[in-house]
Amino acid sequence: MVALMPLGKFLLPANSKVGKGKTFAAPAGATRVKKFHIYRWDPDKDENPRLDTYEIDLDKCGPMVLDALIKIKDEVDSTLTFRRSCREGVCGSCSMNIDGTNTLSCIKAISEVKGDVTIYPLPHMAVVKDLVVDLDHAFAQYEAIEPWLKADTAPPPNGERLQSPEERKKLDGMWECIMCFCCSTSCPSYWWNGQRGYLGPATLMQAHRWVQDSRDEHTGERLEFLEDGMRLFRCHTIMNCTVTCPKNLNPARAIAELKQLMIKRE
Amino acid sequence: MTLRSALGPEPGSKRSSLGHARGLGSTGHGSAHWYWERLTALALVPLTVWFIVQLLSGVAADYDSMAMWLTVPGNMVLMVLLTFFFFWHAWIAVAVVIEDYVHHDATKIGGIIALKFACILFGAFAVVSIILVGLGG
Repeated sequence: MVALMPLGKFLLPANSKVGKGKTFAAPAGATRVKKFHIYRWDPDKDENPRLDTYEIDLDKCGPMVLDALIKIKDEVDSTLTFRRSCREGVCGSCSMNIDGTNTLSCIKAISEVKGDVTIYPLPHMAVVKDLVVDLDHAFAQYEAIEPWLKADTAPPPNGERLQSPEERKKLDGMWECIMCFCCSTSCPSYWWNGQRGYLGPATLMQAHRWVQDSRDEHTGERLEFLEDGMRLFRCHTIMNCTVTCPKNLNPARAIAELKQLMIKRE
Repeated sequence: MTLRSALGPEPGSKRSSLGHARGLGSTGHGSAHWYWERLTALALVPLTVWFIVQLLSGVAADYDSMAMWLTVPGNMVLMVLLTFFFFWHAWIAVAVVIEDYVHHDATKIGGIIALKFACILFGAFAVVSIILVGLGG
């Protein structure tokens, strides 16, 4: 049927079905135990992905989900693989799906999760190993919007390019983005069509950030790049991006403003 | 990185990530499509409300009363506009649904072409019927 009806598939392929994994019991004498169910997949083994369960004593663990992951890797199971760096929400490395929502594990408090903590990699991305996904294409799309200042006028010889406080203010809410791709990977349009041209909310907000920059002189070219049914207009404004953003930014608004600019330009 | 092609269109491709991301380039249109999708939707709101109110008032109780109702120029014009915007909107919006979910190229293009012919055929049929009935045909 799938071959006859090449529509979106409703079931996971057989080799992507997630099985039940091992359970690592809490040490004897643990006082406040919380269960962490974590997605595991090893490219070097010919096995389906599985959910391993780790019982962690919260009285001997830091407050954030990342603290638990690091504790597991250090003390329980060194094979658990995940990205992390700054542990304070500014690097964007530890984005993953926790308790059904894409977020940064370093600023997600364990106490925010009621019941067991379930952790998956970012949705609909190729998994490299465990919680690490392939962000190659996502970053290539970011590179494609040329996220750097493009100006033909030489900078003033005795200083930097100036911007009024009002012009600078237009970048607020966009420059803070750390490219963790929580938003893009929460977007069904990006799931279905990210590989077919849709840029996704993270990259579109940065496209808008450069369109809004008063120092940039290639605004028209930037908009021309986005004048496309896939790249920009595959956004159908369901706003998962804004709901999930761990930095509380609003990519949906940036995309809406881009669309308005495209109409203004016509 | 061999994983790059895991979701990409060509398994095993050695094309650079940036090359794949840029793809065939911008088509140069998209905003007009988006604009008309919303404008036709906007036009359909009052037309649909009007049509439902008319139906509830019993104009379609039988063929004769409907035919009589259609002889009123205002009714005929609004019915023609409702039909026109309905099929125009379907033309644009159903194509978006197909583009979203159908990823097999031949099926996608075939589906969109079939949709466009269907909109023209049924749209023309409906408009001509409204006019003929309204003129007492």
